[in-house]
Amino acid sequence: MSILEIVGQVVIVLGGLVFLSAALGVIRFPDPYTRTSAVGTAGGIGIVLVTVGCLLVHPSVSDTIKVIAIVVLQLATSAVGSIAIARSAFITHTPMYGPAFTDLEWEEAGEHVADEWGAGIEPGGDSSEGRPD
Amino acid sequence: MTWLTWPFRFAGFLLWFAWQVVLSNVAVIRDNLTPGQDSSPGIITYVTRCRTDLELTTLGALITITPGTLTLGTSPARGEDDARRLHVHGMYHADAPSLRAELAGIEDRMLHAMRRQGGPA
Amino acid sequence: MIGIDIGLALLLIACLASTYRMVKGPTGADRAVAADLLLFGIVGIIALIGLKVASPARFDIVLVASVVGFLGALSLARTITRGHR
Repeated sequence: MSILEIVGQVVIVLGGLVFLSAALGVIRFPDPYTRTSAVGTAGGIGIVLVTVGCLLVHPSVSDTIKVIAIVVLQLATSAVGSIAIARSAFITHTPMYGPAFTDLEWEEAGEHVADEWGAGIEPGGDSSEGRPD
Repeated sequence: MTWLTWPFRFAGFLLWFAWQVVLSNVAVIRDNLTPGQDSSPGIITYVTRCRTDLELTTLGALITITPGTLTLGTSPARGEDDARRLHVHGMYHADAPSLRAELAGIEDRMLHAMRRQGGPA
Repeated sequence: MIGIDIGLALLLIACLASTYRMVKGPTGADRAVAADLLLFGIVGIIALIGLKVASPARFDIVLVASVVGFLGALSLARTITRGHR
């Protein structure tokens, strides 16, 4: 077993630990914003660490090119997905757990959101209710 | 001739950012493994100094990747100061100024690394 | 190869946790973000299993997943806001 293989396995375990912290966050954090915060990290950093670790265990030139493409694309796209989900949570007026400070106006969020974010959506919370519209 | 140093500035920024991610990930894991919540969540509207949409998107993605902070959305350049704004959710900052200070640190280094001629000004 | 097995176990825990959150809810955003984490976990598991069985296509699968994977999160976010942007 070469040095590179050991380093690769350590990197894989580090990526797994990032995923574990995201899993704990998804279970234990109290509201969608904090959960999205945990997943946004794991989606970017965790996948990058796991793929780089896989490359280090069995390195080759063509795989290196693919892994560079994966790292760039994953860091660029996973954050966009997390931002979109967090933004949708705010637009649907999902309440926030114990805000210590806030710059957004939650009370009149209907008009505020329509004005500031260009989305005129009716207040009303749970999309799991399965409304007829 | 400052564009000659651009690749080195960019690589240095990547290393610094990786170290920041490690530091803040430790804080998140510690809160997760200890019982109870000692987070103090809050949302600020951050007025950026980004001049292009690419810089704004990159800053938002970097904030999201950093554990504990999350971009909620953007506001386009409008208003009297014509600045692009980010709505940012932070978890482990006691008050709004400390979260603003951390974002300003990331933004300073990102703009210095991304612009060929350097400098956030 | 003990490191790969530990990584697989950790990713499996992440997948189970996100499945729990997807079933439990309570809001649509919770379920969407759990689905996002489940996608990333399964992509990581595919990469690690591909490494274990020495499949030559392991990085191609991860590459395709990172190109199109975020579209799922985007469309779920659009569904939560019921089409409003």
